[in-house]
Amino acid sequence: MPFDTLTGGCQCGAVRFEVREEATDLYHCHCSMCRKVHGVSFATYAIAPRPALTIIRGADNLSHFDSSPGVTRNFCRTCGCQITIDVAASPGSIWFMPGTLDGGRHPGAAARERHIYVGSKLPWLHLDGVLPREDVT
Amino acid sequence: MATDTTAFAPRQGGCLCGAVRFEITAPAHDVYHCHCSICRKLQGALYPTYAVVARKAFHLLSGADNLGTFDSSPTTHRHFCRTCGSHVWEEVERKPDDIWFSAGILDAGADPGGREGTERHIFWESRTGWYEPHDHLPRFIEFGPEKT
Repeated sequence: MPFDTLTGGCQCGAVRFEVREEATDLYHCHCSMCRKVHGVSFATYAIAPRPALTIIRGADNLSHFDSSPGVTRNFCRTCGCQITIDVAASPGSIWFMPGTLDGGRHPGAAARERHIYVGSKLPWLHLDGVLPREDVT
Repeated sequence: MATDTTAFAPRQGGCLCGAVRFEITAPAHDVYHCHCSICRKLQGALYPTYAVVARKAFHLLSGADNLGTFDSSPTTHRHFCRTCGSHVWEEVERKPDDIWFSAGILDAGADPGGREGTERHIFWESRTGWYEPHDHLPRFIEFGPEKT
């Protein structure tokens, strides 16, 4: 079945991207770094083959923050929305945020969906009892 | 049940890079998970969680000169760290005595307080549709009833 290209972007509209292949991975990360870099209770990421994701507008409006050596977070400098993550150890992949997809579309990789770093989750946050959990350390 | 603010231990939080730090000296009085597309596309998440606290109990400790501000509506002002992009808090003009801060960025995952009877999902109809929290929190089309 042909894949219907995903589009997404930040709230102010400065940065827009498209993803032309289904994601290869999908997870919800509860580590404190991801929580604090977005300002959220947990962060949801999808991973796409790097050639399949194109920043179609606003690449020059991205700020870059290295949350650890080799992990670069790219966010819109106008509205602060996190757009992509580059991981030096995985140069063939790029991380993006399914929450920024237009129309609330699913990024793909549904069978992979899971919670990670659950040992770092907010103690007060209720977590569903359905998805698999990993406590990567 | 009235909230006993005298017993509340102040707690701090901030962005990932550490430039922006704040402290709350009273518990929040409302906590909600927002599913609207504006919040999703500002914070790059499925649903950000906000805690509402009295403005007089919210103290910016550092980073005032490192903030970017984005007006998500003419009367809603979002403040984020210009270095790491973290959304730290927002101000809503129709509620000048309150501050909405990102509940998930308190240090050590501290509880913002005020969840009992107020924690809920809002703008539920705007959700992505494919993630189900499987919790028992109330779900509202908009904000739901305000705490009085």
